[in-house]
Order: sequence, then structure tokens, then C-alpha cells
Amino acid sequence: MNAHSELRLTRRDLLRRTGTGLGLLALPGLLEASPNPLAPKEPHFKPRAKQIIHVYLNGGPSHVDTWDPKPELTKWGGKKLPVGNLTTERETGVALASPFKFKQHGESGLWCSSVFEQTASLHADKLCVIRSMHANTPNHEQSMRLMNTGDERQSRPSYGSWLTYGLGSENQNLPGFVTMCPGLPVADSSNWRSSFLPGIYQGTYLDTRKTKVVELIANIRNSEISTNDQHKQLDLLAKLNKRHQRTRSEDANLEARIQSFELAFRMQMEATDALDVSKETKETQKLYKADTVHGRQLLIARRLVERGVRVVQCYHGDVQPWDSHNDIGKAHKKLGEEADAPIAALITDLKRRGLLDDTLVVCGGEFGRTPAVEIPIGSKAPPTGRDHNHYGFSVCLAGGGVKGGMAYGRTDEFGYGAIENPVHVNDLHATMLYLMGFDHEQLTYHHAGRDFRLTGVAGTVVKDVIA
Amino acid sequence: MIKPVLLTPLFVIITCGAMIADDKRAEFFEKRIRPILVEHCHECHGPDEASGELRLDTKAGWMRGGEGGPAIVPGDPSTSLLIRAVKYEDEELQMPPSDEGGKLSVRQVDDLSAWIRQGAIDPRTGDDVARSVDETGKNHWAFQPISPPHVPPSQHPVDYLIDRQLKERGLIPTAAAEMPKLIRRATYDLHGLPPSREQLATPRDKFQQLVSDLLASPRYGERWGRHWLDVARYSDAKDGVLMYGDARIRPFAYTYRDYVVRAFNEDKPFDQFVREQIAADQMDLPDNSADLAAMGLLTLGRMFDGNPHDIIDDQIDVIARGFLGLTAGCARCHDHKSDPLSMADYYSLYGVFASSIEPYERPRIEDISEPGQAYETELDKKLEEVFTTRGAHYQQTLETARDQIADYLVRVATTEPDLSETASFFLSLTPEQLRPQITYRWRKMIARRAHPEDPIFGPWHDMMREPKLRADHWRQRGVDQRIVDGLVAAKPKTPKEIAHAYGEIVRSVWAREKELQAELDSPDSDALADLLLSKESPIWFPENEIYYYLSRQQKDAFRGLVNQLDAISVKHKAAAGRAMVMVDAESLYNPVIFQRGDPALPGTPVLRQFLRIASGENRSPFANGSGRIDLANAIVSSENPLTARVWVNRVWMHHFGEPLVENPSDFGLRTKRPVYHELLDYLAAKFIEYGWRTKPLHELIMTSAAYRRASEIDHTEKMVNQIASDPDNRFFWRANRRRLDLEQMRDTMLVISGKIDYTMYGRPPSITDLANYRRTVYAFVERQNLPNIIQTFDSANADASTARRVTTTVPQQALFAMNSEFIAQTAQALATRVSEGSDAERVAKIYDIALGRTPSTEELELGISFVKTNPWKQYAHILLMTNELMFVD
Repeated sequence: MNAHSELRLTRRDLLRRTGTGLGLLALPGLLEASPNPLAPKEPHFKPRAKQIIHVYLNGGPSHVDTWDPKPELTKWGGKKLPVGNLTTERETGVALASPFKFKQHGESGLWCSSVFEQTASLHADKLCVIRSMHANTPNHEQSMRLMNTGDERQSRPSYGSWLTYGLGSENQNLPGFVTMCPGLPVADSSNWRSSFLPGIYQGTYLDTRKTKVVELIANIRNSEISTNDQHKQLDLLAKLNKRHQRTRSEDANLEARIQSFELAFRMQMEATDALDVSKETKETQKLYKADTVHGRQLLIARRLVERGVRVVQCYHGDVQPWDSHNDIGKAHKKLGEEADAPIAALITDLKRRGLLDDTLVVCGGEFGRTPAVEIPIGSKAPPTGRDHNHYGFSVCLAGGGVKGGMAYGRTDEFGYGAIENPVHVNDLHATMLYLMGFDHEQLTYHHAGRDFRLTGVAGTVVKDVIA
Repeated sequence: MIKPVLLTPLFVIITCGAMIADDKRAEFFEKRIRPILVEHCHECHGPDEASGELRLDTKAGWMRGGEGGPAIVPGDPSTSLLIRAVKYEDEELQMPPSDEGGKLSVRQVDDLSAWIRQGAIDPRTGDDVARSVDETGKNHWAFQPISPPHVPPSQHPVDYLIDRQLKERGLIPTAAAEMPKLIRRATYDLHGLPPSREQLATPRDKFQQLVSDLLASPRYGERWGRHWLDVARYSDAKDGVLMYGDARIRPFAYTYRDYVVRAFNEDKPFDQFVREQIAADQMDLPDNSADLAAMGLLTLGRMFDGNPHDIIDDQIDVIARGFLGLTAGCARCHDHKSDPLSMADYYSLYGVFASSIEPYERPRIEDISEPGQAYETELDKKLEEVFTTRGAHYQQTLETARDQIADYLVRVATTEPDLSETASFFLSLTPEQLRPQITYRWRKMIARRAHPEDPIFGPWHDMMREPKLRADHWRQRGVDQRIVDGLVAAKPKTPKEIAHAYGEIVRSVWAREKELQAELDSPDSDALADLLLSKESPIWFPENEIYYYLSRQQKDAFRGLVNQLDAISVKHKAAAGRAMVMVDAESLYNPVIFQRGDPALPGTPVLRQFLRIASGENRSPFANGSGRIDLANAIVSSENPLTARVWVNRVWMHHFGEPLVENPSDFGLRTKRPVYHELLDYLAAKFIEYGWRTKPLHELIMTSAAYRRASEIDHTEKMVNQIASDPDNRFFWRANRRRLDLEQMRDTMLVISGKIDYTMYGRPPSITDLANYRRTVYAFVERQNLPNIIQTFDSANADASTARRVTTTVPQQALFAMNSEFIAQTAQALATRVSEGSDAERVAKIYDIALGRTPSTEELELGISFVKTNPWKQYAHILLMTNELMFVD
């Protein structure tokens, strides 16, 4: 994409507006020296979604216990699967029937287990569950990176960085890409890194274990100088900079830096305001369960997209909470209790504010779990958990131009592998970019002799899920 | 089933086949192979279409192969892409395609396999149509010998070459910069620091002396070393899972950083700098030479979750882009799309690094201090533990795998390869589970040897097709007697039974061999026992790869043990430094092309040798061990015009803010011949003439009028038009104004605070530690979870070689200036430094310290009026945020 022409206009507009036109500034071609990398840009075509909220259930939620009911698995529970098991990270044994009850919801009759009962019962007809997701390997770190950057091991920009690179930021007072986690997920910052894209496209990470708003963003407040005093400082700074600029009026970089102080001053207010959920009504806070970290994250996410942030990721928790190798019945139940109500609230809230059509909600993990029980190494206790499974899993989408009440694709009768309309993670990325207005083959960046893109050499847009 | 034309046993063909059977094999080609190729392949893989860039109508065509590498591996049908394609083994590669006649007959496939197994004799001549980039590449400017232009002796060569162009284009250079501005430019350029008051007083005619003085200062290496560390993707940290706290620290990475700083200060000749970074271990340096640390270039890249192919790829990338300006990494999966770099080139280099390992025991390069002694003792003990454990694991793993031969063979005979055998991922194995890598190698061996002529696996081939015992027939063929007897005794019927019988036969031979070995010291080689004992056995792997074969518990424990080597090095702060070297592996790796870049698809063998395009006429295979020293010599050879050009271009870029060649790490075909090509060649030739020394190059550049021009322009109509016609200053008619980078910014603050600590070298302090007053080049360089200051100020990305930092202007930088504790602390220190005198004197002093000049009357008044109502600290803070401080004219 040609970022330059748009940037030039924006810079010129900016300068005109601020009235530093010293004659020279009106000349064409002068102002492209210092592109603001976050200036808003148009995508390739009319987007269906303007922003993404990714509810990242890190650790690998079990599809056969949530969105992908398998009566055959129940039937074969305790017995060896007739088709044999696929190789995953650990040894697996007999079929493990799901301990959860599945029900149909909404007019569409979309199936869902009790783990996400609230979300499904309130919003089934808005949900699009891709049941035929697949990835490359059954290990967390590689699959986390694949889900975020399209590659397992290489240093590649995350999809949020790609989108911020492609779109800039709607709101200059906030970062374009924010990622929240109470702690750090596996593969930590490589999940939201900008890699070879300029560092400014990296996700801004907020450690949501911190509850004080001003602690969430670096340098967002001056602890010693009052706002009023700081204003005086910046006034004098502006005067000194203007004097310095007099004999250097043609240099757009100087003006850009002057502007950046004005932006920063406003950002101090707006950024902390955006993160402050206490400004919400009691009803909304209650709806999200904003007293829990999961509820608070999603509520912040809504406040951010409302203000023009492009991509917001909310990881469920430190390391890999959904990694239920043992006692999946109990573990997934608890995780569902944490995640379900906030997700339902988010969709309710987006809907009533008219934001759901513009906001793509993505909910899922880096892979699913095995239908067969995992055989724990060196333990005599009866096995009750599931191993990682990248051959097939589910991701749930809502809003942002996707069809509602839909289950797309299929895994085999036991839920091991995607067999109908398989959707690779690269395909999901291609689809997400498409919904955001990009042709994934055209959103490229030249680095180390090649044009790179999010989807590598793969990726097909799943047109069937698009409304 | 087909009757093979040739019944000669395989080993005969290998040893003397060329003498006895060429004409027969040519006949086989004519009768059986050519018709298949003509009928089924030529239409798409001939001169008209060459689909997938592959041609099958000439021998040269399949030898070079298509996008995925050579199509045929003579002697090895199972790894030949052509066979994989016609067998429809791969979903993505099925030939002929179903809409073009579909799959060949079993007999045709067998014929093709037999032909390839017997060497793929192909009498067809005719050239493969050479790739167009290979042709155009020959004429590409960057691959031509360096040819410096003639420069009249009376003129400064840089100015002669630049002014000619300016004149031609009607561009007027700006006037000479005012002295204070020029001096400030020079100190930031060479030291990354603001000028001292004394330096600022340098008169115009002493500028050259100032440059010499700056070059002689150790501050120079700290600045220019950092430029190289960008290229070298330097970091003090590991990356990957569980790399937090102390576990993330590469305790001796700093020895490489120190080597680089020292190399620049000593003006080490660049050719030697290259050699040491690639092969210091092979240069007969004294034991414990600090220069051994140079090999950090190879060893401190990312870890890629332990994937060796990615680690090697990273080594190739940093060397190819860093030294040669070539994006060789693009040839990992296919021939380079736009440069004359082939997969064969890539895997030639791959072989060099795959033949080198990073030893657990690193050479000590510093003297042991008194408190450092405890470390040496603890390290020795830990090393011994590592080696003993590794050796024991290795023996045990091999022994178990030998014992399990029947299980392996049954797995091969009864299952399809699964993901775990070919993809590299982390399996949590139990001790008894078969090792997927070994299963895979058994599969490959059997695929290669299960054909009627093989003296061991001939009967396997026969019986898998039809479980019939044909003892006499086999004996006649020369099949190993013990195989025949064993099969006759076991009477296997199913593939499982056949495989099992084979396993038992080999195992019993091995068991007997073991007893014999106990009695005799030198057992004769035995073909059956060798299946389990030789280095060619599927079971065998180099000991240093043992980690990948361990069970989950062993793995965790062993990794924990190895990590302790670094952990104790982190813990003992007084430990003597050790160099992060590489050494040649005990068994050298003979590279093959990985088709489509996939290590599970090994193809044509290649030699360890240099890139064809950068070699002279007489390219010869690397002769010394892994070939690292040969590679280094080739990089700095006079036959190779790239290295000197690439380096002088980087030097120019750091002086002028813009390079002569637009992509400093990519001199390939897409990078246009620079407008100042003659200047580039002049500088490169001069640089070589200086004995590859950089300091004289700095002097040459900095004494030019071009370097000393003003960045400001007169706003006359002429200049206004000129700036409109060349807004990017592509022709260097003025100096480029530059913003301070991260290091310059932070170091400047430390100078202004008066607290800067010029201690050199050693373990890295934290950049976020407010009590750390050392220069930024010495601060710990993170790889994950970058501190805010690093992210915000466009620091080099340590994941891959950085040719050029991007410069962004974002509000986060302003927030740092306004609100960070670091700047607040600097402002406080500055205010404290000027606590004496009248307000006017204090304002003037702040200007002097922060900006190196006296304030104007207006500035003085503004300052005095501000401090009437606000604290001095807040005033000092304002000066630290100014554009004047952050930009260099």
C-alpha cells in the first residue's frame, strides 16, 4: 500500500491548521520527510469492521467441551477410539466423554455447553462458531505465535501491528493496538511484537494486575508537576521551539516533534480516562462483573474501541490458564465462570451502543484439546484431562460483518481433526484482515530483501462466514 | 512387477558402475524413461511453459530443478521430488495433475525409481534455460569489480565527485556550517555526545585536529561499536519460553559487545574483524585471547525454541546481509526471486554452520580475580556433571533404540509417517516411546534400500509385495545368509510379522556382536550389525543432539542442568569473562538442499563453498573443517567487491544520515546503482588501500566540504526552488539535520546532569536503573519485554540484523520527556548545578550546559520571568525538551 501520499496530506493539513505556514511550507513535496506513522489511513476497500476485540482464552480451551458437541465421543467414553488417536504432545488413551451438558440456543439452535451458557443463551444468533480451525503443532509457544503473528518461530509482526501499520490510529491520543493480560501469556511479548515493522506498531501492553489507572501506561502522569504547571512548561517550550524553528522552517521533523508534545499533553487525560472503568454506570460495571479482572479488561476494551483503538486483546490470564491437563470438568467450569459473563456482557453492551456491527469480537485460544484422555506421566491417579490438539478446534466470532447463528466447518465425529471446510490460522487472519478492509496479499512490508505479509505464503478468506 | 534391466548389486554400481553399465543404462533411459517424460511431462515442463520454473526436457533442467530445488537426487528415489510427485505422496505436489492425465502407472513409477536409483543417467544435452536473474545479475553494478575513478590530486576527492554532479544538475551547495554547529555535528557523529566547552572553542583551521582527537578517544568505539551492534542484532538476553529474570541473561554476551567497542577503538582492520567474528577459533590466536569473543556474532542471535534450522538461517542472514549486503535468507525455500542466489548457495552456507557447534565449555578470556575463583571451581564441577550426564543419556538412548529395532521396523511397515516425525515440535515422550526422528530415519533407509537388488532389504521388498519365501532365489542374488535363514525360520506372513522377523534377526546379530566385542577389541565390520552400530545407522546421531531424544523428565532435568551453567555465571558477578565461541563439530555435516526449505525433504547434496555470485572464477570447496575460516576469507577476498562497498556505505550513512546505496544491507538487483557510484567505489578502494581501516576513512569524509556544509538554507527563491526539486537532499548539497537517537539522547542527559560515568566494558547494568550513569551502549539489551524507553525511541530490533533504524515521532516520546523519572532526575541535577548567582547568570549557565551557547536577550527574559513563579527544576526541564537539544544541525 502507498502510505506516503496519505501521510503527506495529513502532515500538510496539520501544518496548515497550526498556522506555521512560513511561505515555504506550502511547497509540494516538502512535507513528506516525517510521516506520522499513526496518522489514520484508508484500508484497501470498504471495511466491515473498524476494530477488533480479541478475547484470548490462552492455554487451549477444549472445543469438545464448549462449542463442538460430540455425541459419539460420549458413546465411546472410556473405550479406545476406533480410529486411533493422533499424535499430540503427550500420550493419550481412551475417549473422554465431555463432562458438560450441551444445549441448543437461539432461533438458530447453535450448540454450546454450559461453559459459555450465558453468552450462548443471550447471543447465539449473533455468534459464528468456526468449528474447523486447525494449526500446525501441539505446543503452546509456537501456536500462540502462530495465532498472533502467523508464524510459529520467526520474529514476525503480530496481526495487531499489521493492522495498526495499515490503518494508523483513529485516535492520536491513544495507541492503536492495546493488549491486556493479568500477568504474561506464554511467549509473552512475541505475541504482540511489531518485529520488523516500526516499534510504534507494537501492542501497548497493560498488566491488568495493576488496578490503578495511572500505573497502567508508562509516563502517563507527572507525579510532581501539576497539570497547570505543566501547561506553563509546555507554553514556554513552544515559544523556544518556535524561535529555533525560524531559520529552519522547511523542516517538517521539527514541527512534528512540536505537535507531539501537544498530543502527549492531551493523551495524558484521554488515555487514563479510557482506562477508568469507574466512569461507567453501576449497571454496566455489574453487567461486566467489573470487579473481576476479566470483566474489567473487557470493559476497558469496549471503552478503547469506542475511542478509536483498532485492536484490543484481552488474555484470560498469566501463562496458560485454559491448559486443563487434569480434571477438565472442574477446571473448565471455573474458567467458564470467569469468562462467560463478561463476554456476554461485552456483546450486550456493544450491541446496545450500536458498536457491534463495527466491532469484530474474536473469542478462542491457540488450539483445542484431545477427545482422548491424556495419560499423565508418572501418576497413578485416573486420568481426567485432555492434551493439546491443533488438528481441530473452535473459534467463536461475533459482530464486525460476520454471520450470526452459524456453526461453520466440522471436525470428525470425535472432534480430533477438522474435516469439513478446514480453516487454518492463516485463513482466519486473511478473513480478519478482509473484514478490516484489507487484501491480506497486498498488505506488505519490505524487509531483508522480501515483501512480508501476515499470512506468509498462505491464507484464504473464508467468505462463507461473512454476512 | 517389473523385471529390472540391471541386476547388478547396488554396491557394484556405486563403485564401478560407470565403467560397466553406462550404455545399458542409457538404453534403459531411451526405452523406458524418455517416453514417460515426453508423453507426460514435457508439455508443462518444457521450453514453452516451464511450470514451477522446472524443465524436464534436458538434464540441466532437472538438475537445477524448479521452485522447490532439484527434481531428482541421483541414487535416491525416495528423496527425489519427482518421485514424491508421481507417487502422489504429498497433497500439494501431485504430478501429472489429475486434469492432465493423472497418476502414472505403477510400472512407470517403478521405472522412474529404478532409473534414479541407478544414478539417473541422462544422455540428453541442451541447456536449461538459465534463470533471467542469473544473466542480468552478471551485469548488476554491485557485482562488478571495484573501479575507482581518477581524481585530480589538487582536489578533495569527495568534493570533486560530488560537486561534479551538483554542477551538472544545477544544484547549489549551502555555505559552510558555523563552527559551533559543525563541532557539535562532529562530536555527536564520532562520540554520540555533545561537545565540551573546550571542543566548542576549536577554530576553523583546527577542525582536522579535532577530528583526529575525537577518533583517538575511547568514546569513539562506544559510538561506532553500537552501529555495528545494530547490524549484529546484539542482545544480552535469551528469548523463548521461561526466559524471565536471571534465566533470560546470556551472562557473557557482553564480551562480544566489548570486543566490538575495542575493535573500533583499536581501528582493527575490517577484514580481520570479519575473520574473527566468523572463525576466531581457527586463527591461531593465543589461548584465552579476548578476540575469541568476536564469535558472539554467531552465537548470540535468537534461539527459535531450539530449532537448529532457524538458528542457522539467522546466522546466514546476519552474515550475508551484514557483510555482503545480500539477502541470502530468501534462498532457503526457493531460488532467490530477484537475485542470482540459488538454494544450492544457501545450503552451501548452511553446511558451514551445521558443521559448527557452540560448546558448553567456553574459553576464559580474562584473568581470574580473587573473588572469581569460586566461580571457576563451581563451573568445573558443573561442566563435569553436564558431560557425564550427557554421555550417559547418549549411550542409553542408542542402546534402547538398538534394542527396539523390531518395534521401529514394525512401526515403519505398518504406519504412515506422522507429524511428529517430520515437523519439529516438542513432544513429551515417555522413556519407552519410540523416538520419532529415529523412526523417520528407518523409514528413509528402508525406502532407499527396499528394492530387489539389496543384499539385506531385497527380501523385505519382495515379501512386502507377496509374502512368499524364495530362499534359493535370494541366495542366488547374494542376500545375506542370516536374513534368508531367519526369514525361513520365522515364516512371516503379514507386514508386521515380516518387519518383526527382520528386527529379531538384526537384533540377535547385534547381541552376538556385543558379546564378541567384549572378548575381542577390534571386531570386523558386519553389514547387519552395522545397521545398528555404524554412523550410517538410522539410530545414530551426534552426541550434541541428545537433548532432542530425551524423555520429558530427562529433558527437563538435563535442560535444568545445562541452564545452571549460565545460572552460576550470572550469580558469580566476579567471574572472569568467557567467549561465546563456536567450534567445528566432531563430525562435519555434508549439506543437501532441503526441498522447499523443509528439512524433512532432503535433496541434492551440495558442497560447503561460497556464494557463486560473489566468488571469482575459481570457486573451490571450503577445505578447512566446517569451512568457517574459508567463508571469512572469501568474504574479504579481493575477488569479492561487496564487502568493502557495503561497509563504506554504512560509514557514509552514519555521517550524513543517508547512505549512498539506498538499502545498506541489500545490494541485490532491486537496489539501483547509486547516483554516487563513483564515490562509493572511490571510498571502497581507498578503504582497502588504508588496510581496511575505518579511522582514515572517517578523516577523509569529514574533511570534505560536503560534510562541513550547513543544514540551514537561505530562503532565497533559488534555494526554495532547489529544496522543492530535491527535498530529500539526494545529492548531498547540504547537511541533513538529525534527531538524537536513543543512545545519544540518554547519554546527553547524563552529560548534562554532570553524572555520566565513563567506566568501560563489563557486565551490563539495567537501562531503567536510575542510578545507572554509564553510557547507554553498556546497558542490558533486552530481547523480550522491552523497556518503554527502548520501544519508544526507535532502538534497533535485536531479533534480526538492523541496517538502519527507523525514526518516528510519536507522543510517547514526548510523554517520556515530560513525565519520566529519568528526565525529572536530569532536570533536578541540572538545576542543582546552577544553584549559584543571579537569575540571569543561572539561566545563562543552564543554556551553556544544556545547549552549549549563551541565551539571547529574549531567551534570557523568558527564563527569568518563568523562574519568578516556578521552580528552577521545572525551567531546567523545559530546556531538556527543546528541539534545539534533540536535533543536530
